[in-house]
Amino acid sequence: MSTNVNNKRDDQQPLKKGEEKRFRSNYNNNRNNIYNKNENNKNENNEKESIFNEPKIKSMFSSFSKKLDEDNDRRERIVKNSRDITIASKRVISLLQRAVWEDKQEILKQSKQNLQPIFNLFGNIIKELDQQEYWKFQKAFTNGVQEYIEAVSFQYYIEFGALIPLDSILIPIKEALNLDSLGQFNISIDDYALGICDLSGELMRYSTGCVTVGKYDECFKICDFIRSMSSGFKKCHLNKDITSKMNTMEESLKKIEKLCFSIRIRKSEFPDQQIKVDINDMIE
Amino acid sequence: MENLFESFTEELEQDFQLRQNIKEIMTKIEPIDRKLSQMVQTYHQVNNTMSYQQLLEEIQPMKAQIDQLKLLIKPVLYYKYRDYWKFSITQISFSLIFSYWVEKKSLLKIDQVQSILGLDENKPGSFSLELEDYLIALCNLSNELSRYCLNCVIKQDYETPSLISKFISDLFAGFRLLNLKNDIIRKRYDSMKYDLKRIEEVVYDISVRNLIKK
Repeated sequence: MSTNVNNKRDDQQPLKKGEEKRFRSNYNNNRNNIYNKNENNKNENNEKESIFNEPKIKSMFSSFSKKLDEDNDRRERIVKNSRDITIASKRVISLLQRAVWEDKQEILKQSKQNLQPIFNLFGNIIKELDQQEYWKFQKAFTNGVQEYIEAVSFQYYIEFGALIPLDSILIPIKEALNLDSLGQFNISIDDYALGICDLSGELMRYSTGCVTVGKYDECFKICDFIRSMSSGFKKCHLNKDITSKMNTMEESLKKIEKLCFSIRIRKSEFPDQQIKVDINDMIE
Repeated sequence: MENLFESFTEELEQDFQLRQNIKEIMTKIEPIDRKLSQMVQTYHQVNNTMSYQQLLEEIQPMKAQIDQLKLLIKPVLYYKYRDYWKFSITQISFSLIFSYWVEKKSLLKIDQVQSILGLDENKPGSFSLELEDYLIALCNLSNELSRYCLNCVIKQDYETPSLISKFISDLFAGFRLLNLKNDIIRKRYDSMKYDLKRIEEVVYDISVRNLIKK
C-alpha cells in the first residue's frame, strides 16, 4: 500500500507552493484522523487561523456576525415574552368561559387581576422595541398581541355586551406601566381583526355553554353581535391572510345561527308552556 | 361599532392606496434591475465591452425613485413595506458588486453600496440596504463567479480562476463566522460550498495541464 502511495506522488505534476501546502495538510489530516485525533484538532486550529487570504473580509464578517447575533437575540427575547402573553391570555379566556356557570362579577374581577402580569410582559416587549423597528420585529410578537386582544375583547363583551374599541385595549397597558406613551408600540388593524376573529370562536363556545344552562336570550344577543361584526369587516379592505380567517368567523356565525334556530323550533313546540330549568338541578 | 368599522375602512383604504403607489414606483425601478442583470451577463461573453462605469450610469435614474419612496412612506413603516423593494435592491447590489469585483478584483463593502445607491446607513428609521440583503447579494456573487470562472477559461484567461478561488474561499470562511439561523441566508450559504467545489475543480484542471504561464 505504501508503494502505491509513492507511485501516485511520482506520477503527479509538481504543484504550486500554496496548493502543495494545502495538499499536504489534507494528507496529514487524513492520516492523523486515523492514528491521533488530538493532533488532528491542532491542525484544524492552524487551518482556521490561516484560512483567510484577505484579512479585511474576516473583520467584515466578524462585525456582521455580531450585528446578526444582536438582532437574533432581541428577536428571541421578544418571542419568549410573546409566548408568555399567549399562555396567560389563554388562561384568562378559559377563566372567562366559566362565567356561564359561575358568578359573572366574580369571574370578571378575577380576570382583571390575571391581566396584570400580561401588562408587565408587554412592558418587556416595549422596552425591547425602544429605538428599534416595530415592524422589523412585529412578526415575533403578533401572536401574543392577537391572543391578548381576544382575551380583553371577550372580557369586554361579558362586561358591556359590546365590541371593545382600540383605545380600551391600549390604555390599560399604558396605565399599568405608568408610561406617558407606548412609543412606537401600537395595535395594527390587522392584529385587531385577527384577534376579533378568534373572539367569534370563543363566543360560539360561550353561547353553547349558555344553552346548557337555559340562558337563551344570551345566545340571541351573541348571534346579533357576531353578525354585526362580520358584516362590518366585510366593508374593510383586508389582506388575504385575514380574509381566510374571516371565513372562520362566518363558520362560527353559522353555528350560532343554527343554535338559535334550534331554540326557536324547540320552543315553538310548546307555545303555551314556560320552559323552566333549575340551575341547581343541572349542577347536581 | 359602526363608527369603528367606518374608521377601519378609511384607514385600510389609505393603506391600500399607499401600496398601489409603491407598486407604481417599483415599476420604474424593476426595469433598471433587469437592465443591470442583462449587463452582467455580457461579462460572460468572449468579446466583453461592459464596464463598471456603465452600470453606475445606468442606476442614476433610480435615485429619484428611491427619494420618492422615502417621501411616500413614514420612516417607522419602512419595514412594513420593504418586501416591495427588497428583491430589486438586492439584485441591483449584486450586479454592482459583481461588476466591481471583475474589474478591480476587490469586494464592494456594504457602506459603499449604500452610498452608490443613495441609501442611508443602517439605523432605525432609515431607508437602507439591510445586512441580510447584502449577504444574499454575496451569495448571488458566489453563484455568478463560479460560472464566470468557466467562461474565463473559455476566453483563455487562466489567471483569474485562481483569484476567484481565493476570494470565494474567503467568502465561504467568512460566512462560517456567522451564527446563521435556519432562514434564507443559511440555505444560500449551504449552496455556496458547491460553487466553491466547481471553482476548485476549474483551478485543478488548469494546474494539472500547466496552463498558467510563468
